[in-house]
Amino acid sequence: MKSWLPTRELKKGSAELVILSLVEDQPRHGYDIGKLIALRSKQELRFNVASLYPLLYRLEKRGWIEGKWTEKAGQRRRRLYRLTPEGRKVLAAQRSGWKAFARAINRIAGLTEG
Amino acid sequence: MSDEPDRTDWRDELTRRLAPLHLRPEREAEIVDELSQHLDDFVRELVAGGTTVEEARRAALADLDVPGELARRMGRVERAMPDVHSRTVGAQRWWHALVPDWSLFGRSPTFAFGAVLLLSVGVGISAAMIAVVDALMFRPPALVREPARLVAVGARNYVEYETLASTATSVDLSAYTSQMLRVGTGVDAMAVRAECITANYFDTLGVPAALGRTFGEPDTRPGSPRLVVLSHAFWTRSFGRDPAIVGRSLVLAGKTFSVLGVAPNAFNGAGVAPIDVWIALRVSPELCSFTGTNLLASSNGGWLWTLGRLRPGASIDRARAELSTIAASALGSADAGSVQSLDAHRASQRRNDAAVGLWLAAGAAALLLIACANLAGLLSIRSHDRQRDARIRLQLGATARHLRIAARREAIALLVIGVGGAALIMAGTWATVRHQLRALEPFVFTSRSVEALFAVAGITAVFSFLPALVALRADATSSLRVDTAVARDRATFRRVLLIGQFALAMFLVAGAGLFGESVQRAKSSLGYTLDGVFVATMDFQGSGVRRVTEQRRAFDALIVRLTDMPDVIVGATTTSPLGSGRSSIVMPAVASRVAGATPLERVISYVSPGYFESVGTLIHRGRAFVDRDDAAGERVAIVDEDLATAMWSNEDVLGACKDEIALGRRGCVRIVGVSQTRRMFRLTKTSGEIFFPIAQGDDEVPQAVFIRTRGRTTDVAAAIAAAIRTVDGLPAMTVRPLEDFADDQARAWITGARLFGAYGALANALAAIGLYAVLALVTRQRTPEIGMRVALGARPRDVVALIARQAFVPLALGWTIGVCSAVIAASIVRNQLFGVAPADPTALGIATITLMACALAGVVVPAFRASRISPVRALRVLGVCALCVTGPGLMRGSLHAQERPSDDAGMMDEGGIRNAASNTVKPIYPAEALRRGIEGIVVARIRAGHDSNMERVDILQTSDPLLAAAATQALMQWRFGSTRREMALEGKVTFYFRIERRSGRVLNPQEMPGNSHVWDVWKPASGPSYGAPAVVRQAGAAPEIGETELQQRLAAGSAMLIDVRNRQDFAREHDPRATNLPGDEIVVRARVELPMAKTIIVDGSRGLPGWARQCVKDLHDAGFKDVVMFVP
Repeated sequence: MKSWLPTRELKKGSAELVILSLVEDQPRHGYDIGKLIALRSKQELRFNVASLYPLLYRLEKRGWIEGKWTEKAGQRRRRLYRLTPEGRKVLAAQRSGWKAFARAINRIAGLTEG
Repeated sequence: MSDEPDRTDWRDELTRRLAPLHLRPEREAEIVDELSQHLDDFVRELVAGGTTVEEARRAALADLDVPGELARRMGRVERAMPDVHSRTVGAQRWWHALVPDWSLFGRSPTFAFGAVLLLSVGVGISAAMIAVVDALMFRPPALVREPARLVAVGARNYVEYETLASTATSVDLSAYTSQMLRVGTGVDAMAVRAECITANYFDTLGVPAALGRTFGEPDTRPGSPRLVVLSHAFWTRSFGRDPAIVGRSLVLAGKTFSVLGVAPNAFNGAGVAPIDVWIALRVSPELCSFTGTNLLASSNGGWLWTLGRLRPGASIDRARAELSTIAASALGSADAGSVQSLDAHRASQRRNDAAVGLWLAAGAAALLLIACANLAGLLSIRSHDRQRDARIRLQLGATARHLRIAARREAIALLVIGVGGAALIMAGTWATVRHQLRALEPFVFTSRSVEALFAVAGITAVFSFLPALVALRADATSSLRVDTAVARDRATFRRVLLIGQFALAMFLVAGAGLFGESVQRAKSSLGYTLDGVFVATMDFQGSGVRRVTEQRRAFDALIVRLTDMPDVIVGATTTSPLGSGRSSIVMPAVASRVAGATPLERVISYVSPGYFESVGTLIHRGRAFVDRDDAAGERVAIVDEDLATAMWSNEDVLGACKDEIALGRRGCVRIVGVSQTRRMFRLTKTSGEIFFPIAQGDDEVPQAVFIRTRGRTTDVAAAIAAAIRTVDGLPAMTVRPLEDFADDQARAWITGARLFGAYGALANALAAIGLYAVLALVTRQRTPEIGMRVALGARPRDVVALIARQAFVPLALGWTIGVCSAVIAASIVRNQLFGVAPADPTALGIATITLMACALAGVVVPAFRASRISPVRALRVLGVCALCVTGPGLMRGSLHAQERPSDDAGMMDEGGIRNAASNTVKPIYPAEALRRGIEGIVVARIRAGHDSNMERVDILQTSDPLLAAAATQALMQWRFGSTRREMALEGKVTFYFRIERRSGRVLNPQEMPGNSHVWDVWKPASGPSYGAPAVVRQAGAAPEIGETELQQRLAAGSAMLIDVRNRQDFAREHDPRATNLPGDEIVVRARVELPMAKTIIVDGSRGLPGWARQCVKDLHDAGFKDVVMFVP
């Protein structure tokens, strides 16, 4: 269950990337995002309510993602987040940045390059 | 999903967790909704996996957060981030910024209610006064149609009127005159003001009747039945608005009239004085004049007012040209044809009321100024008070904009409540003024009065709130730095505020005092008193003609009867009371002997012996009339001082026998008394008066009887009326308080005196309260400092004295400025000052005493209170220390992390800093710390600017705020030479505070080793006392060893050589045998790192010898018995 990431900063930086990637192809709601993160990271990464939603709101305020309420009969309304054009640019930048960073770390730490 | 668990209501759980954020309700609801959905999903998933619903819910909540986490994380996003995206949110926030913040009233009730009081009183009274002046001077006559088309024409008698009215083509004319008439008969009679009018009066004004009808042309022909139109007020007052009033009869001055109609409510004709009834001039001309002569045929005198309405298409210029031409050709003088707008005419008519209105408006303006100044002071101080709060909020992620919004919302709350209060006070003030100025209508919130209210409120808001908001903006935008510059600014701000506040209060209170006294003097020099005096006046109009001798006999009987009443003084006069009305005998024939002087109006009265005393006129020299001044006695007279001066300026007239006042009879008249000059027509101008005994007159019949009551005044009128009833042969008489007769001018002045007195008192109170409040707040700001002084051992008395001393200079300065400006201002308006010098000592003295007392109280009371609170509380709870600059040890961390200056180039070690300092001051051991046995260390970072002053002091480390405070206070007084440096100096200074438990030598500060830069502060042998010099134990003499002994001991392994310099110095060069232990770390590290069993040898060959010696001592104190110093 524990995060493999060594520091909180690293986690924070990567979390943005993770979320942006998840809403890249289709709009998702918060629970969906949280669950996908846990699933795809094989439970290595986990967000709880208190960490996930503030992050979503932050991204939304920055204008990288956009939330919209959708209503379904008999259910609570849900908020679906989609990537904005600006978010798409940021995502691209973060992807390449992260790639470079990971490569550098791997090289320094003597890990095999992927 | 058939097994979907019921939706859980998470709202309570979530709301509770989000509560600390104080989110907007809509935003909070959104977040709660979204998180609820998340939790629901979570529960549903767990339940699907086999967990019970209960357990799943518990798990969901457990997952929710560790305590406080949600709020903390959410807070970072929700509060700190400016909206970049949502325009609606932005709009809501904009609106949000204007929602009043009522919580202020709970948080600082004293401040809030004080501010509201100032606002309400200042704004309310000023707005009322503006509305009064507006109503008196600028409002057209009520209910009149198209008042701009109305003109006042110069025709002043009926002949002139008739001539113009019959010829003019550009204007329709009508005329009116007013007269006091008696309504009813006998003792139930009362006086009403009647207006005698021509037929088309109501038509000219364009006013229809509210009930019945107004006069038509046939109703006003001579010989027609007597008809009367009632005013709405009179109808209400006397007939209870009887709807069946039309056609009923009313006895006016003994004649029976039938009621024709009722005028609409608030209609008051074209004039100024309130009118009760309107009658037709041509039907009852005898009621409209005193003399009973044929008024309508006389072309003499001016007793009528002529009013005109411009015909359609006619301009005022055309009317002027036409009427003056007619007047010049038909009447021989163009004067009667002069035309002016009705507004101008009314303004001249109500000159007196308007003068009072202006006076009151000026007084109100002064009041508003005081209120504004006080309010601005209060708010500025508050915004300064809020600096710390603001800093903390900025740390928590608020932006400067948030702070401004918060301040604005508070201001709006104050304004809303304040303006509400002001509206009430405005209505109340209006009612008070209306009581005195009868021309005013009852108060209603019309658009004009509301405009006045908001205009004044706006001005007040701008002048009082703006400075505070600007100050806040500056505070918020300036960095978080709390350095000495800010502390110095604040002290300057306090001083300037104090000077300004006191100067302004002094100016206004002294000014109000001058004017108040001036008005009081004017009142007292009226020459008569109004209180407790009743007048019985003969009702001419209904009296019919009787033989004079009969009347005199009846009056004599009445006077005797009245004199028999207990506690009264009775006097009679042949002129009407106070010269009002037309019965004054004006004798311009008495020429002035003073060349070039304007001839005075001479009023000649025949009076009875009791007259002067009854009316309250003083005989300054000589005597009043007595009973023997009768027809048989020598002819005598009393003249007033002005007349005596004007006619016989260089002569003592008392006892002189003068021909000039013989009034055509032979022989001279001896002047037996000189009376006080009375002001009856104009306050600044007197009418010379000559009095003769009534018994020496030619068939003079008294017109008025004065009755001054010494006892209670209730029932006196009735008793007088009863006495009148018992005398046969008297004409009908009306009994009224003398005040009713007071001339408009005199009444206006008396009104002014009363109101101005009240406002002066109010202004004084406001200024005093405001001064106290400002001073108290200023002093309260110093609570931490005071607390610290007490902690350092000062007695409360000393502190209070100190604060008072410090306040004295600014107060004295403020006093000087205030008094000078008051005197200068008073000199400028000295014409308005009645008998008061601009530098009137009474007014200035009273103002000084009042304000000084308030100022002293404002300083002493809070200072004393501050000195009583626990010093620790003073320092800790209030958090800000006026001198500590940085909250002692409490605000380390992030706050300082951002502020740390980057130019490390100037960093010096402790010894360097100490050497660079030209003046060093040792901390005083705080008395409170001594008492509680607090010892410890204070490490401070100091920064000296380019000049010699200490620029800032940050406490980096401390074990106790008291010690930090003492250290900071001392460091603040350090100076660094007088030359300007290229670079700021920066470095650390360490103080050790230890209480000497052994006997230590007490040194003067001068004896201190000059270059020791770590100081011990010791308990003085004589016990703590405030202001005692810092007592420093001498860094003692340690046993010294040479190189040989050093080698021996080291070789034996029984000793250890330590180098006590800092690491840099050690790294540069050191004895290879030595271990480095920087001196300022000894206290912390020695016990842990040094072997207790060995001899510790301090390397005294390097660095400063004092430093090494000090370290030896420190080691001793740390418990090392065997410490020596190596000196090669």
